[in-house]
Amino acid sequence: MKIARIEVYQVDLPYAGGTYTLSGGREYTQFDATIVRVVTDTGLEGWGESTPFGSTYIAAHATGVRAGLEELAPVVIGQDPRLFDRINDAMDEALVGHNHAKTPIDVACWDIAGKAFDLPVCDLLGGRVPKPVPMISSIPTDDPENMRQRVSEFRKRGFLGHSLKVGASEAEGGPALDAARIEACLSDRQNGEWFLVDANGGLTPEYALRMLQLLPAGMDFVFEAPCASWRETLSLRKRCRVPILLDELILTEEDLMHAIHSDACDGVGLKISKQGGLTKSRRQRDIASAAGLVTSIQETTGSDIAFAAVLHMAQSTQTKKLRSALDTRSMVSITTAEIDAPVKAGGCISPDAPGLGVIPDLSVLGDPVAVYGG
Amino acid sequence: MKISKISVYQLDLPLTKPYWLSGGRLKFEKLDSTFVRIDTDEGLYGWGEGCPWGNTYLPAHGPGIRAGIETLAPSLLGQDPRSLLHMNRVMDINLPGHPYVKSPIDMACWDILGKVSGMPLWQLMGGASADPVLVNSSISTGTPEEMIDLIREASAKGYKVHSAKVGGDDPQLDIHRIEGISKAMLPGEKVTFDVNRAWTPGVAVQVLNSVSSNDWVEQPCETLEQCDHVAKRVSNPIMLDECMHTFDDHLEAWRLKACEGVKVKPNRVGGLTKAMQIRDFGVSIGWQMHIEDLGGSALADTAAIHLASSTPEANRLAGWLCHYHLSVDPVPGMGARNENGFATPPSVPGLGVEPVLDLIGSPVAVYS
Repeated sequence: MKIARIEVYQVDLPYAGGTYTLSGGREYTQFDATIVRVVTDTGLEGWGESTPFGSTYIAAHATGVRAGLEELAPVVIGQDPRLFDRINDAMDEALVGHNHAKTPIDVACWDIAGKAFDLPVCDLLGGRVPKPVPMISSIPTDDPENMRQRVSEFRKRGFLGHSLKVGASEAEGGPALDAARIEACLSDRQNGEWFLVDANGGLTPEYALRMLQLLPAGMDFVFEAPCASWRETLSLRKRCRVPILLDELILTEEDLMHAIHSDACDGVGLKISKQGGLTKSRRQRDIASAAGLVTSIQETTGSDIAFAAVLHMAQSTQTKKLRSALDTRSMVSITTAEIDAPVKAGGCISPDAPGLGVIPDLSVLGDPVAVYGG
Repeated sequence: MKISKISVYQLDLPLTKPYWLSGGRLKFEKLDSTFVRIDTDEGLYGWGEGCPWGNTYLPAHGPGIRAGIETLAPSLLGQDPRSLLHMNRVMDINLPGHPYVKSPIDMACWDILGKVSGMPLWQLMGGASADPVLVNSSISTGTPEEMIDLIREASAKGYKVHSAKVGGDDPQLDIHRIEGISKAMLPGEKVTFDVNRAWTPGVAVQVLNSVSSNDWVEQPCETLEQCDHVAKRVSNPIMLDECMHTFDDHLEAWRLKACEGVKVKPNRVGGLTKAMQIRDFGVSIGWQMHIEDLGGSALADTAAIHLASSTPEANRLAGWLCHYHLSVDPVPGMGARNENGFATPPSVPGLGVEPVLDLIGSPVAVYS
């Protein structure tokens, strides 16, 4: 089986909650999605998606995804999509870095392989864990009461994890405002819930320590991505009693080994397009698991196709090491594909259909913006 | 002063002969260069160039520069190009990472600042005079004899410092290359052995502990941690290059004592502004540095030579001129050129180099 053609689609995904704000005054109202269809000479086809969180979150942006695909498509055409590592070797030889551009091709190859082997992707990734995957919400910075309100809405919808964004400027209220946000959101905490306090790399160690000092005892949460650099993170780590989960600093296996070697964290946020696809995410999940780190399986953002990849990866991760998965569908107001995976109390279950189990809606995707091969 | 227009040009730069990176792993036949012209509301303008070394050397590629500028342009229009740190903050907020996209923009802002202040870049960067910078030859991998022949050719053109690319499949051959070349050095000549990350730590330790040469060895392995492992087990001074992207990487290399020097390449680290921060840090901790760009015409070369020239001699090993390997010259006769093994930066205000428009074609994108 060989890859014969690659079609690239572009879709704007409006943010479901109006305007999303992150530390440092970053704002987002919609996301630019790149969706890829990989077609083989046997007629089997697969789908993948890469939707950066704007251009200001990590080193990824939508026009860069499509510029990268221009380099990558020619080298994977003619290759067997079921040989994931070889496909990734070919992509890594053609273009160094640029994980977000490699992701949709890699994910589409897993979709094809699942269909070829008649197995859902979660089974190819190591096997389905027969339990629902807990879903995590994403709560943008806001007034403490509004954030608490939003957590409770997600709780009603069956979400067990909540990711609270923090990082106020001193003028807005600084560490005291962030501490109040955490206290408000945790005040209704239910059994089985897991809270992340996510600074998205926006804090100095000094700010982070001030914020933590203001919190009362007994707040059960994990501190995600407190600082932008390794030095700051390691400095904070030595003086911080709250578990730390790293995300934006971990892009490659090398980063993960560095984190393990320097004992920088207790958990890692794996985002499929940040790590470079399912092949690389699986390897990093397994390394993290071996080192005793918990994982939160996520995406930068995206629609149903991106979510399918997240869900299959999470569905095949040991319960003890899996904290949550992100339902990207809850962040955008457009549906790009049908997938049988409703959120219920306790979470979501990967579809049993072969591959990713997604049926893209071609009327939403429109015409391809680029086609490679014949 | 405000940025009113950003014009982007694309030019293929064919190499005069195919270039094989260490061990013959990667072959390069042409480079994809992006020229950026920034115009201001006061009529002054500046030029920059970003030219990755193919797609396979660093996480950088030509179409990626143009895609990145498309993303950044709206946030750059209206900003004051003379405020270099501010410009860099705006770029870092609006597009994290992607240093190779930011370098040509930062370079054009330096050109404008130089023209406004009436000073050449070497002076804005702290230099007292336009010191000539020793330039490296670049010796492609081959048998020891072939490589020594190339070195003799380069010597005839005035080069006194050579960068010999090693790192093949066979450690014994690398030992022969290093021993042969090191012994063939004439008085006053120096060589750096550039491995371009081709060795595993085991091979590096084996090769370097089997040679008598004490010459510089550059980027022996893929990662900083692997290079650090090697640095602690060999006697050669180690220079780091491809594994260094951010200021944080440099801090980490210093903390680990993983090297005695670094290569400072504006396009790899995000522009002249960030390259200068790294240069200044290197001076303060006693590193020795090679300062040159990733690739490009004499425009990008000259920008890096300004920075090299303004670096104290004790910390400055050499530079390198990519344009010497190209079969086209969009800035004919301009900028820093090899004169008997040295390149001297221009002393006119700004960068002192401007592309001839007929030679770079029409812009592929204009933002205003």
